[in-house]
Amino acid sequence: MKQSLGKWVMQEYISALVRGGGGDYMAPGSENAMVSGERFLRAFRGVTTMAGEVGSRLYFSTYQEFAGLGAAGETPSGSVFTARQLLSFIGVGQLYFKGQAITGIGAEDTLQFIVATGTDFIPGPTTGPFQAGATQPSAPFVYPKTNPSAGQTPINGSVAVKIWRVSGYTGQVSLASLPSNVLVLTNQSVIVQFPLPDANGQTHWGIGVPKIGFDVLGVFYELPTSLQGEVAESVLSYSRSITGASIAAGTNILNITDPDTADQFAPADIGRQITIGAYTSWIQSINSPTQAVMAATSAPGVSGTATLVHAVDGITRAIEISWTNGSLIQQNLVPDRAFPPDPGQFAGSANDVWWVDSHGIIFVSDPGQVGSFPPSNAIFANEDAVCYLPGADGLTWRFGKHSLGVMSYVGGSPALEYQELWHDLGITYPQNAAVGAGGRLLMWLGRPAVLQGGLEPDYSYAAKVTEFANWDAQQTAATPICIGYDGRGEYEVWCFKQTCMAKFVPRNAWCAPINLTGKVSGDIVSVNTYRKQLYLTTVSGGTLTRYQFDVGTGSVMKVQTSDVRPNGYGATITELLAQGRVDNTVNPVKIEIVSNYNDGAPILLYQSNPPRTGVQPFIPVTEPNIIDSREHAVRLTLTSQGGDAGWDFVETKGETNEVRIPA
Amino acid sequence: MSTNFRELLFTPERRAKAEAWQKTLRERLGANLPKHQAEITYVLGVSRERMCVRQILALEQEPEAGSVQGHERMMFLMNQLAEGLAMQARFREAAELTRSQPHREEYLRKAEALEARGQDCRCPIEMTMPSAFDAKGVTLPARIKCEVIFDGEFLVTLSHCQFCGGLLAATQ
Repeated sequence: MKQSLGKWVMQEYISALVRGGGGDYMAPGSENAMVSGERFLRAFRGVTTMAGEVGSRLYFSTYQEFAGLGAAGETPSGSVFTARQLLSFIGVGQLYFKGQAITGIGAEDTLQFIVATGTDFIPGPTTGPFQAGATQPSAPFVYPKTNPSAGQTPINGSVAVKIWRVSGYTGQVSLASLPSNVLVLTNQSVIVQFPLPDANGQTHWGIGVPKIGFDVLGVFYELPTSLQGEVAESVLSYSRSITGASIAAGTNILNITDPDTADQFAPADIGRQITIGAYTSWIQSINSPTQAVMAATSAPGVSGTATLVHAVDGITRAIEISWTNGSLIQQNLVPDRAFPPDPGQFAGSANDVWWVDSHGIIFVSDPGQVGSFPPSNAIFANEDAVCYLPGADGLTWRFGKHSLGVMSYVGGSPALEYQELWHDLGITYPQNAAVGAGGRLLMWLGRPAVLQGGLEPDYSYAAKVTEFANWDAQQTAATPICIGYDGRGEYEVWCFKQTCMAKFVPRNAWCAPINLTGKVSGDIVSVNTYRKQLYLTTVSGGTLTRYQFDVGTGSVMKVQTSDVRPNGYGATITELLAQGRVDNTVNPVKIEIVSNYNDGAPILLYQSNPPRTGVQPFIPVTEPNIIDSREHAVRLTLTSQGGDAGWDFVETKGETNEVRIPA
Repeated sequence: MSTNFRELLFTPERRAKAEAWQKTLRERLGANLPKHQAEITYVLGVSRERMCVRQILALEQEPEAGSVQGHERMMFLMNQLAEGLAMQARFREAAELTRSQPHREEYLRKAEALEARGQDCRCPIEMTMPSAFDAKGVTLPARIKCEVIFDGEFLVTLSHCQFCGGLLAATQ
């Protein structure tokens, strides 16, 4: 009488288990079989080439998109992140955004940023890249203005002025300059002459002054903006051409014939400098839109096109200021902490501060300042970092080769706190760590490990599989072990060369190894999660290609069951029943028996094209009649086309031997 | 599944331990903190030079290089590059590269001052300004220290003489 010899409803893949014990799991020999849902096996759907996208060797999620560092031939490292609509980057490697190289832009050891243009980042004169922080300007020169203009307060006493750069893109200021020359004023106001602006995103100047009478010995306060404490560079560099200008010999009356009213004289032009050929002077007063009184007489008559530039009493790049001691009450001190960031290897932002990691010294910016890194605001790590990962709960993980630490925003000065968790374990390459499901930390510490529920690595994560045994010795910077998370399928995926090991998180179950041979070009060098989906990047020659994981034209799914030993004496297998799902009728389905552990010579029981798609039984037409099989497993193979395909269960029947058969 | 690392990490004991460790590391590594902003400026200049050269070489290969936007960007990059060189006190090279005439004049002025480092203009070092509060006037230094630069070896002070308008360089 036929009896059930084995029945399998596969729930996971296990390779670290002795054979012969049976069990509802897939055994070595299986591949491209994904655990999904409840006792549901399906074929790996393959990969899809992301046409039009260029891969990179490192990825960063930022600005609701993804960015990257490193072309095919590079060994990149560093950080890319966005804060205040500034795509910021530091480290080594070509910069990418949304799968496109930003031509000519690469990370360096100083923190740089590109200002957003809508949803993109396009380099240019007004967008950068600019370096974070601004250099201290030269000291300004100040001149007394004997007849203060309307609205100015005459000053009596000695004064000096400091200035600093301001970027309108970031609000970042520079360190205040050294103090200007000292003026001793008697009912006068101050003309401040500014040096030239930088080419690093500066748009404004800030002005600081002391209490009157204290000049360079005083504490410098920010001059209130209501008293012109901040002046736009565009004001200082203002100029225009005026056609048809002429001054008769021996006079100081300038007439113009320029018909454009925008070029004609206005009250704001008083004090501005005019140049006509060799004649240069400034406007003292205006008689009409076409006639001005100049400060200097022109000996010979001059005519031609005049150039008018902004000036105060003929002093170019200048503005007039005045103040009272009362106006400085409750004003901030001039910037004295706006040190540009030190060169570094990694950077990031946390709440309202930025940080730069320079060989283990982590400089933390002042709150709200993207380029103020006072040296006193430093925290320390014990070694250079290999990578940083943004974690859950506002934490940032810092991996070294021999350490793991965590950085967190705590407020105060410095606003970040650093804790080292381990001092003996670390990762070798930046691709060796990732954030997995639920924010847990996945790490390659010579083998897979996870950090969850405690602060020690959990190596039991991969205790059921042996496939990782040789990976560590083989990984290199060019071909590292890459870890990623597919949020859509809830798989934590470990990739090396052309193999992926995926763990289905809801059931804590490994899938069968995914074999990408023939499906991707070259070896996997990086992975990233973008909008919950996992993408793989491979390198072949000088080309980095991106692939969407588990979306494609299908795969050859092989499931080999565990080996069962019906009674130890052996059995005759006379029936096999299998149920599966297919998404096409053009590829054959194959069923084989592996008897007595003879994996190299499986016995073919069934090979045929399915008559239809969908769920169906697969039963060999003739009885297998495999005799004296002490142990047996079933190997099921199907080739999918990217739809729903998989094996549901399989059962063998037959008769057990009643006597021992010698081996 | 989800772990609240914050609860695990930020216990009073762990924070106290971390703080003690930070103190140890600060004593060990604190000497590596930068000393002078001019030194940071110098390093930023080195990085700026690399960053601009890379962009200029790439832009030259792009089709847009001949367009108005390409030209504007090239001008900007040359100005950025010149500024990077100036940040390294390489003012004469900066003057050759900048596309801004005022900047060129300024760089040349500083280059000449550096080349004449240590030389003095021989003007009086003090000046007296009239004051409404003191019949003798107020005596002030005639040289205004306006900038400190680092040339890769020395910190150099640039001072402006209010008598002759000259720029004087002196190693600190």
